[in-house]
Amino acid sequence: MALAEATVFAVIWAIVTAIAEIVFRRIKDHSMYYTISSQGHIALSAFNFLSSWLIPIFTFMAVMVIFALVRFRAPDNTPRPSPVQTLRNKWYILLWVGVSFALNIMFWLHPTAVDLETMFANWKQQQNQHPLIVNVTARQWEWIFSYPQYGITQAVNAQGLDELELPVGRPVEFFLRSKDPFHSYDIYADVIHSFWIPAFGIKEDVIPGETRTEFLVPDHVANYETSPLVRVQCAEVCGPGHPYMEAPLSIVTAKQFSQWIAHQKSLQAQGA
Amino acid sequence: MAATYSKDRELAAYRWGFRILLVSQAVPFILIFADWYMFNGYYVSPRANQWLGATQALFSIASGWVAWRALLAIRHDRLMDMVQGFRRAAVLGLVQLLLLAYQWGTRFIPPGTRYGEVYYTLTGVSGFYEVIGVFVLIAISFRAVRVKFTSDYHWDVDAALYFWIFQLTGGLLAYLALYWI
Amino acid sequence: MRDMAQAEPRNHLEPKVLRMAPVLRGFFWAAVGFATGNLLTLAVDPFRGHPWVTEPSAVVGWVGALMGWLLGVGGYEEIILPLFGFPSTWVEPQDWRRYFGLSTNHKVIGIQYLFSSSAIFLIAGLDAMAIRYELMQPSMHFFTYSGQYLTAVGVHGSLMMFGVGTVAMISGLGNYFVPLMIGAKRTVFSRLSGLGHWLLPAGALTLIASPLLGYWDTGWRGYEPLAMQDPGGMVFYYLGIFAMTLSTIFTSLNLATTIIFYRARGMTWARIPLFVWGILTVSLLNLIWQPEIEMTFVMALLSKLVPWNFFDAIGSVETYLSMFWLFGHPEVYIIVLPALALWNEMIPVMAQKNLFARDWAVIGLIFVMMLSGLVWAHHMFTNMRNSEMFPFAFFTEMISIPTGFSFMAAIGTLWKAKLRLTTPSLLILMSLFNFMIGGLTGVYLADPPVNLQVHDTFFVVAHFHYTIIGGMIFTWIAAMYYWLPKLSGRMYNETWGKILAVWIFIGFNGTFGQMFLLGLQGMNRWVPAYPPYLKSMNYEVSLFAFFLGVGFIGHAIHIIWAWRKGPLSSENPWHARTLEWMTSSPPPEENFAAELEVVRGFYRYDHDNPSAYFVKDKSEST
Repeated sequence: MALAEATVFAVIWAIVTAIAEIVFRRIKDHSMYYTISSQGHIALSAFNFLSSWLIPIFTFMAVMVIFALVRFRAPDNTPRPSPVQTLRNKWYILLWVGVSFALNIMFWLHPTAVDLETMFANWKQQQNQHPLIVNVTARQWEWIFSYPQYGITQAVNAQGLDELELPVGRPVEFFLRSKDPFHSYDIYADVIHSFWIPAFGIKEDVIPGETRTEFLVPDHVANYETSPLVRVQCAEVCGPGHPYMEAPLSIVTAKQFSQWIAHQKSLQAQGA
Repeated sequence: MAATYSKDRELAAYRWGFRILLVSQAVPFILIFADWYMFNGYYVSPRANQWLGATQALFSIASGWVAWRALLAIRHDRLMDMVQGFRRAAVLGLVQLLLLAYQWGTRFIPPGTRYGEVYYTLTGVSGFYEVIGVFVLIAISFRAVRVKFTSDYHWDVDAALYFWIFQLTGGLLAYLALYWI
Repeated sequence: MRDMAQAEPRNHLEPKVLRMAPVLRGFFWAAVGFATGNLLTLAVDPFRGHPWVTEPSAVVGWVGALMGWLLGVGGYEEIILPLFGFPSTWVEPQDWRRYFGLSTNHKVIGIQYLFSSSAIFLIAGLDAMAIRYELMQPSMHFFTYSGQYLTAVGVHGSLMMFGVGTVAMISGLGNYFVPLMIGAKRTVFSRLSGLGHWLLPAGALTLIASPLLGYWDTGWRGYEPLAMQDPGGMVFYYLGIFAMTLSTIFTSLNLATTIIFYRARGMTWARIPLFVWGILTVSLLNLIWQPEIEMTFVMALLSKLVPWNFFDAIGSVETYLSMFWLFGHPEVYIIVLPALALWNEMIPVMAQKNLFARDWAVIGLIFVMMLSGLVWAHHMFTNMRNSEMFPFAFFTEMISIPTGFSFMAAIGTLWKAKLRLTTPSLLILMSLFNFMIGGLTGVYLADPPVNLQVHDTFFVVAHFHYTIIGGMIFTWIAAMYYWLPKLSGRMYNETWGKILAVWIFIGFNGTFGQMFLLGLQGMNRWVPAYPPYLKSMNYEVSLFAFFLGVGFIGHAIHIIWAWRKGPLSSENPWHARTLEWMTSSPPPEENFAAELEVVRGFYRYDHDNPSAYFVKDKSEST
């Protein structure tokens, strides 16, 4: 009898949690919408892992609020003492504190510690696979991409706008710098930008005076038409031009990429 | 007995409240020193005038000493000594500020350098607190004439001295950072 | 016996007849102060070809204006004169006019703060409506220049954080109720506190006026080095926030000291009410972190004016970021801790049930306070070295444990209770729900790989609005209803209260719940124009946001109506046991009819004995 209330609650909670978990399993692959890089998969699996563990906590609270509204409400608003008066319940406290410690330490070890380790291990490994190097220069308000291994100083499309093109399946190392190649005399011209490719599941701030690197392997052929998440976007406010500081990105096959490189070279030769 | 309890309580509240304020006001100094450590390549500029700096520090210490004597005076009910002591301390503080103003005005230290940045920030902040301190010392010395402080009741004097010593400490730390380290 | 009378002649010998209302005089003196400061700067630096108002002259002028304003609203008579030993000639009017000038009565100050921060909430809220209106279309159609939009975002954020979040509960409800709840007649530094209030409208007006000096782009965080190259509006951002944080420091100093020293007899540390614990912990946070951000802003201001290279590519960009978030994360706990405390203040009363595990609830508040200074860098996962993420991820996870204690106590109290489902209870339950979502989404942000994707997107926007609106604003409204009978002696309308509570709950979750999805879909922050594929959801979010805005205004109208015209309420309508209910409503000038002696804790409902007595023999304790 003493546990009747708790049993009812637990049953409802279990049912709601089960339904929520089943629904979540269905949308799991798209919970972060569109992810096509090694880094992004780490983030996506961490996101899904956290979600499936946080759903029971959320349903606990949601069911509790509704349960309190239904089962624990007074018939009217005249003040009278609750029939049950508890000051503490050591098992409940022990369970609560124990579970919250256990969960938090688990989240810290997995996914956080494990994923950071995986990320670094991948980076070290990829460094030895002679990755494609892309120098990314952020200025107000433009992304400039250059490919030093191919002697391309600024990759542009037919309209002369900056574009980023990457071959699928090959490790890429981005070197991120915030500087204005056209105003190098002005030390106040550089601000923080943030290099974000939503579909790659990663962003890195570009700090004036520092060089940051970023490793990843794109694993699908894609462009803006495939998903609008395939784009380069500045994510840190950098002045009035911030909303327009984006650039198209396409991930292509190795063959298309070498054609594109040849095309860029010819463009550059014409320009020079 | 009961009255003393209430009075003591009120005094204790002022005293501790003021100390809490001073601890809180130490945060800006801590922040500058913390920031300063973050900057690489800090140095004491050879253009910094050691003699002027040392003179300033001496004036600071002297004015602290004079203000402290003033507190001792009111503890023995020598009201006029206290008033004069505070005014003298304020004058010494003002001289210190004038020396600072002279250094700022002549721009011995170029503001655009790393040392210049730290120099003007530190002296600016401690100078700001010193201006407030001088104002408080003068105000309390006038207040003392109208509101008779006694050896039993002189919280206002205590508070002014707390603040004066606080800003002197900040100023002396700034001196050490600017001329010695 | 008034011991201070000897040292502070406050016998109003020559009551001054003011020719001008204090606020008007404040404005006038502020104008004079600005002109003086501005002209002084021009006189020192008479460059031809400079405009009349430059960035440095605006700063000096602003300092003059602030001085003039503070002296004008009553600081001259009430603070400067007594400081020099003259009798204060300030007479507080005994009618409505006392709310429009410097006051030393903590209840008046509390209401002044509540009014000011509600006004700021309205202005910043209308600002948010403009932002949402702009975002209904993927291209610019309302604002004409993206700098305009970004200024709107910055003003909205800064006003909400420094004028509402840190103010409404701490300076507003705290000033009014903390002395009542600990059985004090007055606060320790009451004049300082009275002056402090007038810094708030000054700071808010400065921020609102900032576009006059040019649109600034940085949002509420003032990130360097962008701030250095921004137009002059940036200067008013620093100065406005400086004034508002100073106001908070004064309140915190006053309330912390009052809590420590002016408690009634028998009000031991073990008996201090939960809300008072909440205010004490945030006061300590304020006293450490508000000066920290002020100094950081002074340095940023200097490096903008001189200019210096503290925070640009030559200095250290990350120093500013660290210094900002070192304050910025404690700031959000400053905002939310009083709310956590208020849940457990109100739930036992509404359920007439013992507060479950009171000690754990208090320990939770204290540990959140201590840990809050150790988590800041999770705001910087995208710009710090990867090896540095690990410890901050740890502390960020850990801080959810003491936060959870507040939930534990609340649920333990609710369990098997007979909860009176009044408007405050309903809003508290909603707040528990909302803050849980805010907290759980924080777990995602604590994990660096996920953070690197959702950082700087609308996911984060949704997350912090869930904690701040969902946690703090909902609880603030709940507390307004709960304490309305005490503030005014009148009762609100239960039906309307509940309808409006459900209204804002729907509006809030519709607005910010969808923002999580927007963030995951790739909507980044600080953009008045965005890729068109995000339009439909943004359009929907905006509709919900307008709905929410109407709901808030509805609450405000309802509370104002009840305050003035509502049915009279009984002395202690909720049967609460804390001390503020042991006096008439609204409380008299000296708060209580006599000295109080507390004899037992306030959160026990398994007996019928009062928690405090009036001390019969007055001479014993006065």
